[in-house]
Amino acid sequence: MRVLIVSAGGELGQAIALGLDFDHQLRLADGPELPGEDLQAILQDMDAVVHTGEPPAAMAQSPNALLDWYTRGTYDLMAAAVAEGVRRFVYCSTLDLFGTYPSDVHISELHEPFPPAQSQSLLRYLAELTVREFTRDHAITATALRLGTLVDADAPTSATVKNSAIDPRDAASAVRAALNRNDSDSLNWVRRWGIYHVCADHPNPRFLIDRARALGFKPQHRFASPKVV
Amino acid sequence: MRLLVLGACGNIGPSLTPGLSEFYELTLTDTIPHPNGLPVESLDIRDYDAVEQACADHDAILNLCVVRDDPVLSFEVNTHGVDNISRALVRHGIKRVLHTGPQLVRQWFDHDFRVDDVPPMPGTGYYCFTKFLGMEISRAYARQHGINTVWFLFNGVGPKPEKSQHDTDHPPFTVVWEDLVAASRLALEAEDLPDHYQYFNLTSYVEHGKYAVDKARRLLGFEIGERLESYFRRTST
Repeated sequence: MRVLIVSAGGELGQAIALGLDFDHQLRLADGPELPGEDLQAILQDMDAVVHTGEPPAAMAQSPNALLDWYTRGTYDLMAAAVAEGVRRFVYCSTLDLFGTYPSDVHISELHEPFPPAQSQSLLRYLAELTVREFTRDHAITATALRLGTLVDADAPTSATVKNSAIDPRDAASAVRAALNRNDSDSLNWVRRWGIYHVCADHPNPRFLIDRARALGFKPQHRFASPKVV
Repeated sequence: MRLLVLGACGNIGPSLTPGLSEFYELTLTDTIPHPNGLPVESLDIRDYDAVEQACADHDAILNLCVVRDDPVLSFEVNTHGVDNISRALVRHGIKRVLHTGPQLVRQWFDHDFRVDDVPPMPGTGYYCFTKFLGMEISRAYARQHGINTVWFLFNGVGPKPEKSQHDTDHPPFTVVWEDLVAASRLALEAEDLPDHYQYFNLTSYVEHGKYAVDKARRLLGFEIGERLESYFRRTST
């Protein structure tokens, strides 16, 4: 499959590129913006798009610039993808959408997101909604992977690990599984759109990942349980 | 109550604000002159500093700003603008805001009936979609900062008929000025709004049985003033 990875220069983008490199033809994009006119050319002949949801480091990090990148940028990307006939789209969202829930609640895809105001997670949620609305209106299969916090499971650390933690290699494997979804011919948009929560296989989990497992996600990297909070 | 009106000179403001001025102390702002020559402070809601400055010494905000189909300006006004307003509300501790926007359900429910309290389905048109993003931004601020936030959504707004209308139907999803004034007052003065955030479909015409205002009736106490369908009756033969 020919896959465009958008905003590929960050930690997640690099991990996804490594994880997909063996069985997909990759095109990596990491410009400071998601430019309207150039998108058609970048998307030409692509079968699938992976949007990492991580703004390029070179981009201005002002609140207005970030809001524009996540909303209008994602809108333009989706519009161009639909116009170019791309049939599969994966957007990397975040489990931080649920940070305001009490800690004793098991969080699944059924829970309503409550991203805080003026937060990165709100911006990522707005981009998720953008992808969702295009999926409602167009014949494209889109998947939102709400990823936990990226943590290298092999790196020695004495710090506590969040109960949403996931090794970047496992995040990449979730993207690989999501790319296998293809319901673009379904008339029912609910089939074309999918949300999956993705984190490591934590003991006493806060985030339930059964739906992602059903997608084919098999987390391989664990964190020492006493450090997980 | 001192009410700051943003976008006071567009399609809605000049007809809505006269009905509010007897109850509130209004400050009218816009980027264009008032069509009736009323004094207006110049304010572009894309400019956060200007919005923050304008919000000072006000108790509530009425946002009537809109750009419909421009691929850039729609985001800047309908999405960024609401973000600017929300930040300014927090900055000044203002707890009441009323926004207006387009109906977000006709694309999917126009063949159904009793359509009222359903989730917005904005689709990907610039107007509806960018307003929808603004709604989501304001929802986050409302919840976190306890800002009573109301969105009124409708398809049309205008005067009520003044005489009998023959051989024609009444307009769908359309609210008349008198009802919009009444609903706006209820929204601006609402206490204990669930989750501090609610959107309401508004229409003055419900005889079709298609679009309903039950949610506004239930949560705001809104009642349609005059049954305007009576203007659209056949003549007796």
